[in-house]
Amino acid sequence: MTILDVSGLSVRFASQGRTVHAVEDVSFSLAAGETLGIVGESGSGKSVTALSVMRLVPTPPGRIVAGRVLFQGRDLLTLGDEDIRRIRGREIAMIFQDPMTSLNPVLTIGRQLTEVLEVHLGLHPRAARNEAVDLLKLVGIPEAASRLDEYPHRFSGGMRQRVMIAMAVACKPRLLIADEPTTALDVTIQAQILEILSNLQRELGMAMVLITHDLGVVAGLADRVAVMYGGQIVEEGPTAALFADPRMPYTIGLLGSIPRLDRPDDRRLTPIRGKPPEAAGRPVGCRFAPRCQHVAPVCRTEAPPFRPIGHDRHARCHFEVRLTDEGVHAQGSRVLSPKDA
Amino acid sequence: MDSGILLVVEGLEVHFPVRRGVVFERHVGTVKAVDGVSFVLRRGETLGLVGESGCGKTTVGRAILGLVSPTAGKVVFDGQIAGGAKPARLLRRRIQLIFQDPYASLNPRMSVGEAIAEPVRLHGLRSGETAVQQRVRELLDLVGLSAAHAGRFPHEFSGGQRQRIGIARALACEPELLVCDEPVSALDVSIQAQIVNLLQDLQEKLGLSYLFIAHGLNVIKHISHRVAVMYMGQIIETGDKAAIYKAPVHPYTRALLSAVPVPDPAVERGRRRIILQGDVPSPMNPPPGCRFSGRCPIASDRCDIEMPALIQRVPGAHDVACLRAGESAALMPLAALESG
Ligand SMILES: Nc1ncnc2c1ncn2[C@@H]1O[C@H](COP(=O)(O)OP(=O)(O)O)[C@@H](O)[C@H]1O
Ligand SMILES: Nc1ncnc2c1ncn2[C@@H]1O[C@H](COP(=O)(O)OP(=O)(O)O)[C@@H](O)[C@H]1O
Ligand code: SF4
Ligand SMILES: [Mg+2]
Ligand SMILES: [Mg+2]
Repeated sequence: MTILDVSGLSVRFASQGRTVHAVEDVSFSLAAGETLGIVGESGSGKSVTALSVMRLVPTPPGRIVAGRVLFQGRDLLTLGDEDIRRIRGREIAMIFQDPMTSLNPVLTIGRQLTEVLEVHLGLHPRAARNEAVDLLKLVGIPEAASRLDEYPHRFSGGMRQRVMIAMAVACKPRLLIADEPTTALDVTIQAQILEILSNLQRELGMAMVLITHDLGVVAGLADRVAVMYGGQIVEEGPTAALFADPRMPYTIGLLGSIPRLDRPDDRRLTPIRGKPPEAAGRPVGCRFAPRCQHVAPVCRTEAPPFRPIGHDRHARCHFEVRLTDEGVHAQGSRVLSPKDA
Repeated sequence: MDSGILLVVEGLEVHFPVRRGVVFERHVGTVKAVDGVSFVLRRGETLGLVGESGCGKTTVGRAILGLVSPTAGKVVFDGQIAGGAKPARLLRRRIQLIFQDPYASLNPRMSVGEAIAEPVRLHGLRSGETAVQQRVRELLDLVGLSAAHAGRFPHEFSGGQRQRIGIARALACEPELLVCDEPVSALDVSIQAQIVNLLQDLQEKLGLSYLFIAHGLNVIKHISHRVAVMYMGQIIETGDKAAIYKAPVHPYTRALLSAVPVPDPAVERGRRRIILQGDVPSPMNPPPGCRFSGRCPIASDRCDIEMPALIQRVPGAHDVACLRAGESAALMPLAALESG
């Protein structure tokens, strides 16, 4: 059953007299209990996409100019403020890279947790406190009962992220959006947090949108992957298929850029040339064209459609680019001309 | 001494006193940021220094550059003791630092050409303005920028380009050793790969030695010849890259390796992860025994009281500081990772 269905989402920002096309025609959907990984480099539109689903895009300067966000069949973009507030936190919860942005520094952890439980679930203060202790235990915080009376600054980065997760899952949401939840953490702490997230997801049957720039994290946890570049999803599909047979030059380039623990290291990395796209303005044609190895004249004049490529997959490229059996270090080759495509 | 050896770090200690109080400052503890670190670096070689935040990597680098004075131990560069006042000045040119954030080290009001020309003039490496400018063009070309970039200012460049500028400025000194302190950590993946390739090319062309500091074990594996793993101010395992990645012994190294995600769903889902309990500890007043004992899955009572020394397992190729080095592989199994 589809729980989240985003289609044609476009978000713009007015920034220093210019228009930033932060998110452009983004579509994806997610089944109940499933995990979608969104990957892409900084500025590619991952956070803005997530904020749009929560209807938290700062307006102004931001504005959702088009699209639909169906959550359990209802369009969140047209919902009244009261309704969206009820859904936020209760049915859809979000955690961020920096937990301090959403924790209140002058309230104890316990106060913040019990407030969520009292407001959203109508729990009595005593019951809320017991529940809060259970939640902290659930996310692996030792001596939970005594830590409840401490302030956020007494917690390490990893412990704060656990508190955030506890608050997020307090109401057993149907959907959790995790925006780079481990990017700021050391790798051993990242492993702890990812394990907690995947256990909770299984226990609660939540769907999850997991945003990260780490393709390894996505490979481990996501059922489906969406790759973003310059505000657009450029490739999307089931995780195994996308990693085994990436079809968009950017995805291929990304995979070739990563040094790997599971491969001999005498091979050179094959980086993507050039630099990330400018935020402002909307380029004509394919956004990736300035950096693409397979660029052809049509790429600079016509925007490639987000078209189906085989079963349950989409890619945004004029060409059918595939890897040879040389693995990700090989170059893709064009097998179709634009007219065939 | 092996003539190929460029740098020797021996028993390096950098301790910072921690004081509290405004009127009557009290000494309340000691941060043992670096606590007995020894290693050698050969010419043309890359030593990867890896470990989680706060383990002392940057402080090791700063001590080598003479930017912080060691509490004990010594740094010997090309046979000369570095760290004393006078020789340090002479050595300073031959050891250069590449920062994580090159922007912080560039003067925003100085054009890129000027920023690169400055050290060339300062060290008298070219005489005459024509030769200096010629050198600036060479350096820009060497790092993959064009001569046309010389007149621009740092803010006009992307993160990856700024890192190239930082590298060009360091190379302007004609150094033999580059201390690269997390040079790609702040960059996007596709740009990281460009800089990693650039550093490898430069090493080949110029015969440079690198002390490459990072927290990413995958980048370290790719770029290093030898690796040293740090934990709370100490090197707990070091050796040839193959030893560290194919036969890691220290429980911390094993846990660290198992925690690095691999971008292959089949491999990633079939792996065995060793999830460590607890937080990355602070090096303030560390425990008396093994520094890792509080988080170690196989710690014994002895580990709490006895500090393990770095002991040779394979002569010249693999050293480990663990009291249970002989048992870790059996007690903490890891699936072999590397395929074809
Ligand atoms: N508050 C804002 N004001 C102006 N521009 C913004 C704002 N938030 C995001 N943007 C722009 O939107 C684009 C996408 O940003 P974001 O979604 O945060 O990227 P990501 O999360 O992938 O790093 C960027 O170009 C960014 O500069
Ligand atoms: N100037 C200083 N005064 C006091 N403590 C310091 C100073 N510099 C570093 N430290 C401490 O020393 C430890 C090691 O720091 P650092 O070398 O920066 O670690 P890393 O680079 O591995 O993250 C940390 O606990 C840090 O807080
Ligand atoms: S459309 Fe053209 S430029 Fe864009 S990814 Fe495909 S081949 Fe490259
Ligand atoms: Mg973001
Ligand atoms: Mg550091």
